[in-house]
Amino acid sequence: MKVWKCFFVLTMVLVPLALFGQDDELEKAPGYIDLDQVFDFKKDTATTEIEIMNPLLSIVAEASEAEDPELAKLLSFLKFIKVYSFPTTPEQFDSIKERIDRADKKMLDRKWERFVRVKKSHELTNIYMKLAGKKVVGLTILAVDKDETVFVNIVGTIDMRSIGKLGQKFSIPKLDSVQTAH
Amino acid sequence: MPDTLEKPCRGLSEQIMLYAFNELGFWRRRKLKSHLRRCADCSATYQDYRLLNAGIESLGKKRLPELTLQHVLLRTLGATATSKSVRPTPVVRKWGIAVAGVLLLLVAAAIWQTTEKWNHRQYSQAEIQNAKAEVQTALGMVGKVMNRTQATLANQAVTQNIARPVWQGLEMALKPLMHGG
Repeated sequence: MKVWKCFFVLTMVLVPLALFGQDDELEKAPGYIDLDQVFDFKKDTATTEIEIMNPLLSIVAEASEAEDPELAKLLSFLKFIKVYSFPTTPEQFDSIKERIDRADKKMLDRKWERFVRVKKSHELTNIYMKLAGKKVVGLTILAVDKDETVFVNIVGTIDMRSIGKLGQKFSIPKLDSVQTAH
Repeated sequence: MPDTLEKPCRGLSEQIMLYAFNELGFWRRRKLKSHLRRCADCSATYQDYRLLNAGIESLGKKRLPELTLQHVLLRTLGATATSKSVRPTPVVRKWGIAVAGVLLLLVAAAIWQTTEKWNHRQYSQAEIQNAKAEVQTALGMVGKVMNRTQATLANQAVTQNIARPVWQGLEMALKPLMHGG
């Protein structure tokens, strides 16, 4: 009878874990931050809102394998990508800058390494990394300039070289898309 | 119950009865079967119990109250037939738990795998293409911020409070931008 009791208890614990454990996994990942909480940010103001997580990231990685192996390799180690951006007017700059400064304190409290802080008259960029040993397991960007505010959180084992390379590649509008427009 | 019940080997009486009534566990049954082939007395006892079982079966099934059943068992088999004696031994129990645990882990792993496959199946080609475009946009935005940072770096306006391993990471990230990939 005891065997069956143990079996029952284990079933009640393991089966829900197998079914729902994958969702909890992300929030417990060291590289994850709740941007809404850290920045006190309202999603509905965002003009660009991207949230992609696994298994979709893995599927995109598989789909990109032939066309862009470097992107596929980078994505295969990522668990989550979140990007919010919204337009900023010069009048809003100071208040957003203050909020970024408050968020910066929260980030440092949560043991994130701020590896870049660029502060100019109409520009503030903070880039943070979450390190696990020598590995980068999280990347967060809080940036504002006179035109736009951008928040980014990338979770997973991140190859910084690939991020830099692919970032440059995708930040430049493709020539063929310009040609087809004409 | 037959009057001429043979005297079985010591300690086997209960097992022979359980076997005759199809209630003996697999391993004990195997062991007992091999003994019955060699021991005429035990084999005769077994046959008597089989006849008894057949007789009971022929009477038709009517469930006795649990207490009465226990009482009858106690009277028939004496002190050895308490409910405790038919419980599995600690070794069997341990193995039971281990096997149940392994089975459960296998079931959980199977559910995990199936959920993964379901998740994979639920995206259409258009959704995957859309997600790919979103990933590219996201990386493009990261690139844009990095480009801006690199431009500022070139003007040496970055804070100097950067730990060495972190600085190396930054250099790595910005190198493709600085040298054009």
